Amino acid sequence: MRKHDVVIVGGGLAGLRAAIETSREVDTAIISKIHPLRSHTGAAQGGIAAALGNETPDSMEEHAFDTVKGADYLCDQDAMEILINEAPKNIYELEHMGVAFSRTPEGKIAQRAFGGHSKPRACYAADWTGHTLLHTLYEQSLRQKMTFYDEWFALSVALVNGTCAGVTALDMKTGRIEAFSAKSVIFTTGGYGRAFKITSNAAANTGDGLGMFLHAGLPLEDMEFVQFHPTGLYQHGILVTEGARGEGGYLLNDKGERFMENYAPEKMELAPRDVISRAMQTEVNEGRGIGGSDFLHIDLRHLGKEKILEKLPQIHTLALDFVGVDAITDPVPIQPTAHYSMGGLPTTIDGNVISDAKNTPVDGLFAAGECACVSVHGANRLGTNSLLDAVVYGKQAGIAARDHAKGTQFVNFPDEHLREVESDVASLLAADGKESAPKLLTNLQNAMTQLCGIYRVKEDLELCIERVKDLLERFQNIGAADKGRIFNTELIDTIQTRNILEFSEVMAVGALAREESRGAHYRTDFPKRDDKDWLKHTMAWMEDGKIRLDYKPVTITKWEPQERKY
Amino acid sequence: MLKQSGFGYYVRKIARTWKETGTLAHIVHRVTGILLVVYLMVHIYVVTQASLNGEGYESILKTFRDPLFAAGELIMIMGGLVHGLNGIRLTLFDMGIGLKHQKAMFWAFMVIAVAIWFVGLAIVWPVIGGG
Amino acid sequence: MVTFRVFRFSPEKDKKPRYVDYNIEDTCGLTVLDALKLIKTDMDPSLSFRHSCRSAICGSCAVSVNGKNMLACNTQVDALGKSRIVIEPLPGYPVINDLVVDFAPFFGQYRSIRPYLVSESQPPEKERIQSVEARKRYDAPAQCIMCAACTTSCPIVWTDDKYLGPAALTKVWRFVADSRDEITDERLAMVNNEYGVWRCHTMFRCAEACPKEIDTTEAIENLRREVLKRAFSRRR
Ligand SMILES: Cc1cc2nc3c(=O)[nH]c(=O)nc-3n(C[C@H](O)[C@H](O)[C@H](O)COP(=O)(O)OP(=O)(O)OC[C@H]3O[C@@H](n4cnc5c(N)ncnc54)[C@H](O)[C@@H]3O)c2cc1C
Ligand code: SF4
Ligand code: FES
Repeated sequence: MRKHDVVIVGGGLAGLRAAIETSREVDTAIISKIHPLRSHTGAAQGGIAAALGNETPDSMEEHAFDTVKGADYLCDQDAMEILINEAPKNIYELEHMGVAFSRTPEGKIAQRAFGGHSKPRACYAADWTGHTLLHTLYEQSLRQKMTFYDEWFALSVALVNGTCAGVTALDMKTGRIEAFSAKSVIFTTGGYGRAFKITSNAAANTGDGLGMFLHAGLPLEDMEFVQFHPTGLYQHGILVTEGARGEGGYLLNDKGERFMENYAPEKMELAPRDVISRAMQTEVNEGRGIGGSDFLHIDLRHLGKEKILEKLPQIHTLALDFVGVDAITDPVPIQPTAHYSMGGLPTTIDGNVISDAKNTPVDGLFAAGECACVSVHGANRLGTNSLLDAVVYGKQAGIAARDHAKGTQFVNFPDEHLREVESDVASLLAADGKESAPKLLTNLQNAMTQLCGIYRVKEDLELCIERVKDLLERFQNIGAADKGRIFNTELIDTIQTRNILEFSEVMAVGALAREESRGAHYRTDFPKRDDKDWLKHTMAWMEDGKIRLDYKPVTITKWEPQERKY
Repeated sequence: MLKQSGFGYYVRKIARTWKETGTLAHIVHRVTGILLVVYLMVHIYVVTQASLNGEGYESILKTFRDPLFAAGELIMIMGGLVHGLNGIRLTLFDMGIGLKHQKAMFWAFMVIAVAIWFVGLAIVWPVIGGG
Repeated sequence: MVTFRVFRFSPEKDKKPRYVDYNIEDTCGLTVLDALKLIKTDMDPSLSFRHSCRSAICGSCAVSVNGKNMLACNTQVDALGKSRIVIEPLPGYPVINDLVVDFAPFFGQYRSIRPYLVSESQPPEKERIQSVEARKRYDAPAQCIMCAACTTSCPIVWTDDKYLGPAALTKVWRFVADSRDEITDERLAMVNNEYGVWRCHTMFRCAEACPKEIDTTEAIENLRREVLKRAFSRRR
C-alpha cells in the first residue's frame, strides 16, 4: 500500500496544474497511464483563451457572453464567470513559468481570432500551444517535490461510507496492482473521443475516469454532448485546424461544388462548427461524398504554394504524412471528427465531485480538465476555452484538494476493495473466451458514429443502446491471448474497452432522453431548442447494470437564454 | 529487461548504418586516428634507434627504400590528410560554419585530400620510386 | 505485399529476442503504426508497443525501422519503398517487452539538467516582454517532443550511460537561448565537461533522426560556443 496526502490520477494539463498547487504544501503523487509528456494536451494546436486585449481592446464581459452563447446557455454561469475572470491571471502565470508564447511586435503575448470568439483572444505558440503548455507545466512540476507513477494504470476509486479512501492502480512495468491511500484524490483523466470511429483524440483518451466513477456508484453529467469538428483527415480523424478555412480553403463535394452554399450561403465555410459538420454529414448521407464514399474535400490549391507553406505548414505536413496528399497540388480528403466531450464527472466550482442532483459533495474526491463537467462549456465548447478550463479548474481543484488534505485524516483503505480489483484483473488475464477487445471496440465505434453521431433520432438511438448492451454482453466472453504481466498492452486495451463500452451507453441513453436540439446535440426528430423542458443538466448513474437518469438545474447569473444565431 | 548497450552492441549496430555520411566520417576519423598514433609510435621508435646506434639506422634507411614500405608510407600520408582535413571540418562546425552542409563538406574535403595526395605523390615519386 | 520483420521479446518467456515475420497484403495509406496495430489486432494480440496521439506530437511511438530511428505514426509504409521492413525497439536502452524500451535513463538525464525555466527575480504583473527575435531563438528546441529518437541513435550513448545525450543537451540549449532564463552560467557549467557537450563526436545521427527536424547537433555546437565565449570573457 502506498500513502500520499493527495493522489492525482492523470498527468495532463489539468493534473499537472493541480499538482503544482498541492505539492507546495502536502505530499503529492501523480499516477499516469502514459508518461505525462505523452498526454493529449500536447496535441492542442490553436490556443488558450483570455481577454488580455493584446491585439484589440477586449473585455471579460465579451468573453463571458461569447462562451455562454457558444454553450447554447447550458453552462453554469457562476462557474463560467470564474473561468473567464481568472483567465488573464492564469495566462500571465503560465508565461512566468516559461511557456513559449508567440509574441506581438511589442513583445507581448500574441493573440489570434478563433471560431465563436468575437475578439482575437486565443493566446498561442505557433500551432503547438498545447505542447508548450504541457511541457512547461511538467518541467515546473519537476522543481517541486512530488512522486510520479509513470505508466501506472488507475483501475478504481475506493469509497468508504461516501468518503474517498484512495485508488488502485496497476504498475504496467511489473503487472502488480497496488492500493493508494489518500486524503484527497483528483481525477484528471482527460477526454474520451475514442468512443467514435473517427476522432481527433489520442489512443489514450478512453475515459477511464468515467468507468471508475460508474463502478463507484457516482454520476456522470451531460454525457450526450460531444463536439464534432468538421475537418478531420479522412480515416485518421487528425485535426485540420479551423485556420485552413480561415485562410480561404473551400469545402467541396463529389461534384466539385462548394456545398456550404446550400446550408449557410452567407458564412459559407466559416459557419459555426456544428452547422458545417451537419452539412457535411448531409452531403455524405445523400450520396455526394467523394466517389459516393464517406468523405469530402477541403481544397487549398487556390491559396498557392507560398501561402500554404507559410500559413499552414503543419497542415501541409500532416496531409502528406497521413493521407499522402500534397495540399498544394491536390484537395485534401476530410470528414467530421469527434473532438471534445463537454460532459463528464460533475463537480462544484471548487472542483469537488458531487454525488447527486442536489450538489452533495463527495468528501475527498475532486475532478478537473476535460474529464470533468463543472459545467463551463454547456452544450458546446468554444475553441481555446478547454485548455483554459484545464488550467483554471486544475488549479481550483488543486487548492481545494490541498486544503481538504490539510484538515483531515487518512481513511483506512478497504482491503477487500483491493482484493476485488485484483481478482477482476486476474480473471481478465485468465479469460479464454472468443471475443477480443479491439473487435468489440471497432463495433462500438461504428455504432456510436452511425447511430449516436452528428445527427440523432429516436430509432437510431434505441438501436444504438441495444448494440452497446449487446457488446457489453459479448464482453463477458472476452479472451486474453497474452497472459504475461509485464507491459501487457492487450490487458490495458481490454480494460479501456470496457470503460468505453460503459460510458458509451450513458451517452446514448442521455441522448435518447433529451428530446431537443441544443449545441452539439442534434435530434432530427426534435430540431428546436426547448428551454422550458430541457434547460437542465443530465445526471446518469449505473445501477445494477442499468442507467438511471436525473436532472440538475442550470445556474444562471446574468445571461438569460436568447436565440442562438451567428 | 534485455540489455542493449556495450562495446559489442556498438560495433554490431554501427556496422549496419556505416553508410550514413556523418557516421562514415566518424569511423574514418577514428580509424585514421588510431593508425596515425600507431605510426607515430613506430616513428618515434625508429628515431630513437637511430640516435642510439648508427648501424641500425643505416639498415632502417634501407627498408625505407623498399617499395612495399613506400606504399605503406603513402597510405599513411593519405590517413594524415583525411584525418587532418576532417578535423578542420569538425572545427568549422564548432565555429558554427557549414552544419547544414555536413555531407557535402565531408566529400569535398575528401576530394581535397586525394588531390593533395596526388600532388605529394608527384613530388616524392622521384625519390622513392623513380630514384 | 510487405513483410514486417518484428523484434519480439517476452520478458517472462524469452532469454533472447526473436524476429517474427508478418505479411500485410495492402499497405496503401498505412503508416508503420497502423501496420503494428493491424498486426496486433489481426495476427498477434500479444505484440507490445507504445503509441497514443498518432500525429507526431506525443513522442510515444519512436522505433527503429530498417535500422533508423523514426516515429511509427508519421512514417508511411509505402514511402519506405521496401518489401521487407525490420522493426526493432529503439537502440541503447533496455527492452521491457517487444518494442517497449525502458526510458528511465533518458528521463534521468533529462531531469539532471534542471529542465525548467529559472527566474528568481520578481516577474511583472503581466507577461514578461520578449521580442519576436528573442522568442525565435528557442523556437526550434522548444518543439522537442522527447521521443528519444535522437539520443538512442547516438553510438556514444550506447557505450557510455553518463553522457547526457542530444535530447538533454538540446533542452539545455532551449533554456540558455531563452532570454527569460536567469541561470545561464550554471547551465553552461553543467555541460562543460566530458559527459556534456565535449563528449559529442558530431556524427549528425541525432539531427538526422529527429522527426521534428530539430537540429540537435547545432544545439550542441551552439552550447559549445557559449561555453567558450563565457570562458574567454571571464579571462579578460
Ligand atoms: C487535436 C486537438 C486539438 C485541440 N486544440 C485545442 C485548442 O487549440 N485549444 C483548447 O483550448 N483546447 C483544445 N483541445 C482540447 C484540449 O486539448 C483538452 O481538452 C485538454 O488538453 C485536456 O487536458 P486534460 O489535462 O484534461 O487531459 P489530457 O491532457 O488528455 O490528460 C489526461 C491524463 O490522464 C491520464 N490518464 C487517463 N486515464 C488514466 C488511467 N486509467 N490511469 C492513469 N492515468 C490516466 C493520462 O495518462 C493523461 O496523463 C484540443 C483537443 C484535441 C484533441
Ligand atoms: S530533439 Fe527531436 S529526436 Fe530528440 S527527443 Fe526531441 S523531438 Fe525527439
Ligand atoms: S503516436 Fe504520438 S508521436 Fe507517434
